[in-house]
Amino acid sequence: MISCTEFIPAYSELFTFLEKKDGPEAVSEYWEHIAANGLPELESLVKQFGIAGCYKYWSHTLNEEAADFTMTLDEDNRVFTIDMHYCPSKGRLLQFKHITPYHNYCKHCDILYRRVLEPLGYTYEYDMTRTGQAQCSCKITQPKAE
Amino acid sequence: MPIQTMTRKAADNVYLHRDFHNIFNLGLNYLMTHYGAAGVEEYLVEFAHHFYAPVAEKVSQGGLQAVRDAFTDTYRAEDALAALSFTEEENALFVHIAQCPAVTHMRRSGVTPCPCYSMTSSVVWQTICESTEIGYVLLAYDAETGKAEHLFFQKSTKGESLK
Repeated sequence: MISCTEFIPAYSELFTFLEKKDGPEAVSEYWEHIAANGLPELESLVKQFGIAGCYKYWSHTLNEEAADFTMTLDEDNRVFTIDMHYCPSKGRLLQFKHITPYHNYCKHCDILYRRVLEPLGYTYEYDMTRTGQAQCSCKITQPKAE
Repeated sequence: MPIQTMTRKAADNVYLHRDFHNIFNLGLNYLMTHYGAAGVEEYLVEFAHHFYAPVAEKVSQGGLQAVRDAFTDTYRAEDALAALSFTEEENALFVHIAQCPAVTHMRRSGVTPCPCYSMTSSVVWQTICESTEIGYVLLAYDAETGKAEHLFFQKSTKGESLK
């Protein structure tokens, strides 16, 4: 068993492995695969609770991942935001001195959640400009009711 | 409706996101589908060479005690020390896993472990031990629960009589 506390380096190494095998397209294809098969809870919660489903989903995952973050849910304006002050995943990868993180590691967060949310009509904006400091942010907006 | 806000520091929670086991298993299945069992093994060998290099160094220096420490660290991190026990014989260490916390979580989540899941122990430990004086054999593995028996031994003793 590889502990779930060691999943992040295993994940990063998998991206590196796939890229070495079949190029960056292979990594993108893998992320599409996870988006289609690995996030049923997010899709289910958003379908059931609308924008509040995002708050419920990330309340669970970010607490279990011991992230350093602020989440905000504004149901009146149909907006949910995450301001990641210190990402536990990227932070760990930056701390390990004996492995090299996959060069585009944080991009998976862009692909995965976008693929789940955009087909439901939501907009997903992801700011990756500070990932070198293990920081990022996202803003998810629910479409207005017809 | 009032605006809801949640702010957390890393120290507010314990780092234990068991759903990562499910996502990791998804990755193993993906490798199986696209590259076969040989691809899973190749990936795990590379991962172990890179990530567990410090563990291999400790095993080189500390022998069987370092193996014991590594298992203890892993099962402590998983909050599953009760599933782990050891038996020692001369120059050999048997590691007994009553049930694997990863397999337990996957089953509870309705996820079927990849047919190659045992490689996350067997291939990883073979790779860790290959450049050390410690030999390794996975003696038994139950795919339903992850119950397992591992044998580590001093290579100089061959360990053949212990298997």
